This record gives sequence, C-alpha cells and structure tokens, in this order.
Amino acid sequence: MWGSFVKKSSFALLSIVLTVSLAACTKNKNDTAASGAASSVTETTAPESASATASATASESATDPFGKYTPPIEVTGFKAIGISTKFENGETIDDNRWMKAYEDELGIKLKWLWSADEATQYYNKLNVSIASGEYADFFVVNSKQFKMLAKDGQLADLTEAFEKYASPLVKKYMNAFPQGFESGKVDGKLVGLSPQGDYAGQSLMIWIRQDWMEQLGLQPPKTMDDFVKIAEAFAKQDPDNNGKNDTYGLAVTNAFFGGFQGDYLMGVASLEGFFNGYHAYPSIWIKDDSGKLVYGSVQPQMKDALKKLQEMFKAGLIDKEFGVKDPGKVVEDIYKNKIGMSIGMEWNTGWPFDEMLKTNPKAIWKPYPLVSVDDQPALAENPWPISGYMVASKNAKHPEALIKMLNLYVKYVVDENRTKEDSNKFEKSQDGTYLYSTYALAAMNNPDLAMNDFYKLNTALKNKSDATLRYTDGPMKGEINSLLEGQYKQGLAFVEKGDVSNGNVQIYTQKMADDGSYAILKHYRDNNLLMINQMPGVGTDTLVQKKSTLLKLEQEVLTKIIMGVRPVDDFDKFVEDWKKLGGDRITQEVNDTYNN
Amino acid sequence: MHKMKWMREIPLHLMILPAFIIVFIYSYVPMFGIIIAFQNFTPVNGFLGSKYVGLDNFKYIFQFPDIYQVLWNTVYIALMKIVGNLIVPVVIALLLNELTKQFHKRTFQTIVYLPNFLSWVIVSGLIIDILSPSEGIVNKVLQFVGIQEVFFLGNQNWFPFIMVITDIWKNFGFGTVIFLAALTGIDPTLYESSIVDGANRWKQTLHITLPGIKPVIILMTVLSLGNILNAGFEQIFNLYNPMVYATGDIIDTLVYRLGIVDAQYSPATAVGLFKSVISFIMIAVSYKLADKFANYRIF
Repeated sequence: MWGSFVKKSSFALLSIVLTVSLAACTKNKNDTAASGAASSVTETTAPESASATASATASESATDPFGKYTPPIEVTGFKAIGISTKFENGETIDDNRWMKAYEDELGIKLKWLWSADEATQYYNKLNVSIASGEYADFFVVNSKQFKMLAKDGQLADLTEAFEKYASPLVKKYMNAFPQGFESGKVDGKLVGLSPQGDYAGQSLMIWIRQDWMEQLGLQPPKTMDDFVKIAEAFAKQDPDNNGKNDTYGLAVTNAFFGGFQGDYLMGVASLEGFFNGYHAYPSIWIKDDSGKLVYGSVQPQMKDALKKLQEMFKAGLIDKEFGVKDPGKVVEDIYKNKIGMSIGMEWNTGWPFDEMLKTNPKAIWKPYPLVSVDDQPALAENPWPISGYMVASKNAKHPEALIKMLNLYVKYVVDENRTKEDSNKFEKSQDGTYLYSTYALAAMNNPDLAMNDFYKLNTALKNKSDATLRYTDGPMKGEINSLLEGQYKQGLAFVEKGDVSNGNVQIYTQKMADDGSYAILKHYRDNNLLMINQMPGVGTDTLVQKKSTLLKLEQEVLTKIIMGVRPVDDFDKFVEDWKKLGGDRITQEVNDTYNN
Repeated sequence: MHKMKWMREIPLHLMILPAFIIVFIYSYVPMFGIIIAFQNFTPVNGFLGSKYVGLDNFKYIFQFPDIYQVLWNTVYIALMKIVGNLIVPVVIALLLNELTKQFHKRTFQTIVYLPNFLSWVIVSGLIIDILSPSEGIVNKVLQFVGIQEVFFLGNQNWFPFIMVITDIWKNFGFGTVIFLAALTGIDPTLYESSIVDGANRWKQTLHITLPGIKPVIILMTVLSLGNILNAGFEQIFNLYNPMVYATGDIIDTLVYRLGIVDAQYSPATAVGLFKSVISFIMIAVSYKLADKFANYRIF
C-alpha cells in the first residue's frame, strides 16, 4: 500500500530526473560513445557473427534466423521503457548496444518514433497513436489494444514469417507454454508474439513448520480434513512446548486475498489456496460450465470454504485478531513462534522463513501441494502471465525483422547456454546496475527457467555429480556454470552438514529437494493442476471504476463471515449486492472484451 | 521621513519573502489543479488537453452506494475530535495552572506534549498492541476486574470512539501549551482583588480564568471548525480494517482508494474540492460567529 503510494508520488520527480539525464546522455553521445564503446562492440561481436554465418551455410541463407539484410533495412518502433532504466557510458535510448547489434548483426536500422514510461504513459500514448492511425512498424501492445487492433486488421500476419525465421530456441520457448503462444493468434493467424512467462510460478502451496509436525507426530496433509486437523493440533497441543496456549494453526492477514488483488501483493498468508481446495477461485476470472467468464469470488463454491473458515476461527485455529493484522504483523507472529501453517508462494522459504532460522535454527518450513475437500484434485489459481504482445503493423515492409530481433534477444538473454560475456554485455552488467536487456525491442521469457534449474540441481544432488550443472551447448560447452555450482554447494552444505546459514535451506527447499517448492510447481504443471486467470490485463472501464467499491464490499463481507459476525448465508446477499453494484455490467463487459 | 521608514523596513520585507514564495509555489500554484475535478483527466493529455465533463465527477461520487455513510462517519468522528480537543486541553491547562511547583508543571507539560511528535504509523502499532484482546494491557485489566475482553479495533461500535480517544491522547499536549500560555496573560491583580472579595478557587476559575482565556478558546474553535471534514487520514488509514468499514471509512480513505490505488484522478480531486469548499464555508461562518459573540476579529 505504502509502496504504491511512494511509487506514484515519486513518479513526477523521477520523470523530471529522467528527462534531465536523458538530455545529458544525448549531449555526451557525440564525443564519447562514438569512439570507445562503438569499437569495443564491433570487436566482440565478430566471433558471433562468424558462428551465425556458419550456421547459415547449413540452412537456406534466405531463411536464416540470424541472416543479415544487405543492404540494411530501416524499421521503426515505439519504445516502452521503465522509468528507472539506466544507460551506461553515453549510451542513450536511441544509440546503445542493442541498436548496434541489430544493425551490425542483422542489418536492421531501428529508429524509435517515440518512447514513454512503461508503467504510466506508454499504453495511453499508444492509444493516441492508434487513434490517429500512425503506427510504427513494431511495438508492444497490451491485451486490450491487441484485441482491438487485431479485429480492425491493423496487424501484420506473422504466421509464415514465424515458421521460416524463428530460431529453434524461440520455437521451443513458445512451445513451452502453448496457451500463451496460441493467445497471439486471431482467426488462426499469428498476429502477436507472446513474451511468454512462468504460468505456474505464482501458484500457492501449503507451508508447514516441520519441527512442530515432528513434535506432535503428525502426517503430511492429503485432504482438507488433514489440513484442518494439523491446524487444530498446532493451536491446541502446544507445539512449541512452552506450556502456554499461545499458538494458532493457520496464518491469515487482514488483506487475506494477499496474492492477487487488494493493496498488497504479498504471496504470504494468502487464503486463496484454501479456497482452491474447495474448488473456488477468488479474485480471478474463470470460465464456467457454459463457457462464460465469471468472477471467482462470487461463485457458490466460496460458501463451503467460508463455512469451514468460520468454524476454524471459532475454534481458535485462526488468530482472533487477524482483522487488524497486515502481512508485516503476521510475519512478526510467525517469527514469534505463534503460527505453524501458512499458504504462500514458492519463494516463501527465502522470505519470511529463512530469516527465522537465525533465531531458531530448528524452525524449518516445508511446502506441500494444495489439498482438496473431495476426490477432485485442488487446482492452484494463477494470474494470467502475459501482459501484452509484440506486434508488427500491417504496413511494416519487413514483418519478419521482428522475429529476427527476437531471435537475437533469446540468443543473448534467455538461452541457458549463453556465455557469461554475452550475458554481461546484453542482459545486465555484472554488478546488476544496468539492465541492458530492457533496451531491446523484442523480448521474451523462458517459461521453463525455474523448472530447468530445478532439474539440474535436483539431478546433481541425486547423482552426486555436477554433470547437469555444465553448459550443454555453445562456446562454453562442457564447462561448469558457476552460478549453479554455487547454489549446488549451498544446498549440499544443508543436506550433508545441516548448515542452515547463508540461505542454504532456501536453495535446498526451493530448487533441490524432491518435495521442495519447485517440485510442487512441477507437480502442478505436469498434472495440469492450474487454474489460470482468464481475464488478461487490467480489465474493462466499469471494472476500473467500480473496483474500489466492490473490493471494499468483498473484503468487508468475507471478513465478517469468517469472524462469525455475519452468518454464512449472508454470502448470497453479498453476491446479489455485488451484481447490483456493477458486477453484472462488469461481467458483461469482460465477456464482450475477452471472450470472443 | 516617510522614505526613511520604508528604507528601514526593507530587510523585514526581504525576510518574509521566502515564506511568501513557498506559500505561493506550494499552496497557490497547485490550486490550478482543481480543474482536474471538472475534467476526465488522463496524465498523457495533461491539464490542458483533457476533456471537460462539467459536474460529472461530482455526480459520479454521489452515486457511490456508501457515500452518505462515509460522509456521516467523517462528520461524526471529526466533530467528536473537535469538541474533545478543545475541552480536554482547557481542563488540563486549568489543572496544571493550579500546580504550585514550576518543576512539576513543566515536566507534566513536556510529557503530554511528546506524543505529538510521533508519526501515526508508530502510534498505530502501539495502539494495536495496547488494545489487543489477547495480549493488550487494556484487556488484561478488564479481565482482571472480571469484564469480558473487547476487540476494540475490530468492533464497529467501538471504533469511532477509539479514534477520538487516541487522537486526543496524541494531540492534547499541544492545546494545553497554548492555553497555559494564555493563562499567563491574565493580570494577577485580578486574583488578588477577588481574594479580598472572598472568592474561592472555583469562583476564581469561573469568573476570572475562563473569561480571561475566552478569546483564545474561541480562536481555537474557529480554527478547528475548518476541520469538520478532516477526520484524520493518517490515523484511520493505519488502524481501519474490513471489520469496521461501516463506521470507520471516511472521505479521505475513500479518496485514497480512488485516487492512488485505482488511479481515478478526477473523481478523487472532485472529492477533495468538495471538502475544501465545505471547510471554507465553515471557517467563514464560524469567523462571523466569533466576531458576533466574542468581538474577535483577525482582519
């Protein structure tokens, strides 16, 4: 809450600073950049273009993913750039390593028609450009603009260009999340490239204190009943052995849907996972049986979960004061050994739990997959991971240039076998100050990145061998990846010596353990146990207008029901009120915009 | 002669200049921004490019289902705070004035003034702990005397009163200092002659002390009436929660959620302007009243 306030209020100041610094950069450009930086770029790119030509001889040169245009072509773009982006050594938004790489390696001279701050201005400015019909060749659009432009036939068909020019790696990453890639197609034509993303990465899981489980001789939860029983044991049987009745079962905060909406994006003590166990999906939009998009928080399945939470509250398994405790306060209670269960994201092992080991080295938290109330498995809800698409205007003369630029990005920034030098030149500086990758036009993620790290470290631990920690291809082939090696050693220190310092437990619990948090994400992915938000983007006009009113209503009613101030049946009245106060209209708009 | 006087005053005028510039830049120039309230403002179009929509934003605000509840909460909490923040400091100042030892008086004065310097973020943390039903000292005492514990911050009947009491606790030191200063301005010979006339302590307070500080009391009342729609954003924002939305949500927290969280700048500005207009009217009215009943004028 505070964070977003600071962010917004400091925006004006930052934009002034940025403008000034940009102006300063432009001024410097002429004297420094041309001499020092430029020559070093040409030097280091030489071997890469050589390898590109080598692979070009293998395939047909006209469809070479890294083939160079001769003579060079000129293309234009709109640039969304983060307000805090920094440029090094006289580089500017118009003249930097990426722009040079496009020109030197691909023969693409890229010119930005305009650039704007990504978070606040870009999409509004793009709306103005769209309204006046002045398109650049290539730009990034949000989901709403994408639908609109695609319907109006303003976008170039990239189907053939993608088949021909996309590098094998780009194709691989697109395939790793087919739902995302397919969402870039309209009427069977590929008109937008999805930047992809980890579609399972924000799944919730159950975290339980291991030492308390052992103390009370409890078994891992398999069903919702087990879950409640563990919470009950933690609350009633004095798991910390201090002779006082001062513990609770489950962590709950006042913003109890902490993961996906509200003022916090905490991912700690998030009750969504509990509701998921009852096949309810609060805060996200799902498809109902008739194929219509509906808001999860007002579906009837919520009621059973609320009833159970009310019982748990009454029985003292939940802190009676959760209504006034924000996530920070709840984490304090966790540190004070008062809470033994929390529903949260995969990184919880790093924060808050790793911090706790400093004062209590026995307090190790272990993750478990969400459990279900019946024989249907629980699906973990997730936000829609794709916020926009890379598109080419229908007027672009070389739409395939977009794909070539994407190839280059994947080669230098996403490829797991990229060299450290490439990474330090095109991804980010060694100390992390400069994020060079943000200068590029086309960018994407590897949806499997976390899974691959898990596979490598997990296998290394099992086989007691660093074979999987080595580069499998490229110029570094056979050599050990120092980053992975460091993590491997950390995990090993915990497994073999029980050393809980330095974040060792986090590395092990997250990336190495067979029953760790990445393993659970893998379990969700492999068994299709995900429920992904079907409404991409920020939503429709009425949704934006009514959000604060409806959210207030939702939080108030659900909190009161859990605390037993209002009966569970009041949920039905809440649903009616929600619909009356704009919910019906929002549902209609969401379906019109995103479901056709 | 006249010119000499003007020359002599130049340094004084220069000294007030920085204050004048600051007020101009930070208080007068931003007033231009109230046109946002009559526009459909988007940052990309700016003040000049955004579309004018007349009073639509105001209509939009008053269509909010809970706007009247929120208005009522605001006035209710603010009024209680205004009254409490007048009565408590006056009473404390009178009592302190009766202390004969200067040391005790000063010490007490300093202690009650201290909370004034703490941020609400910190005070809220303290209050949550103090009022906690399971661990808080207040409920421990209640339990000790056999009263069922109360979840003060989670109970919508209690919440407004807790806001008023904690606000007074934090602020009464400041008012006390002002009234103590006013008390020193009363002519001691009045007390001497009243003793001769046989007046006791109570009579002295009633007929000399209170009339003596009446102008200051009226001034403080006039100044605080402008706060009729300020129920204290910082305090309530840090302490409210879904349990007490019904009695605890005030205009400022509504504006916060609208303007900052949902980025609806125009309706948020409209509410702000509405608040300012009401405050302006209240100040004007109370100034007239003060003039009429106490012959008090600033201009």
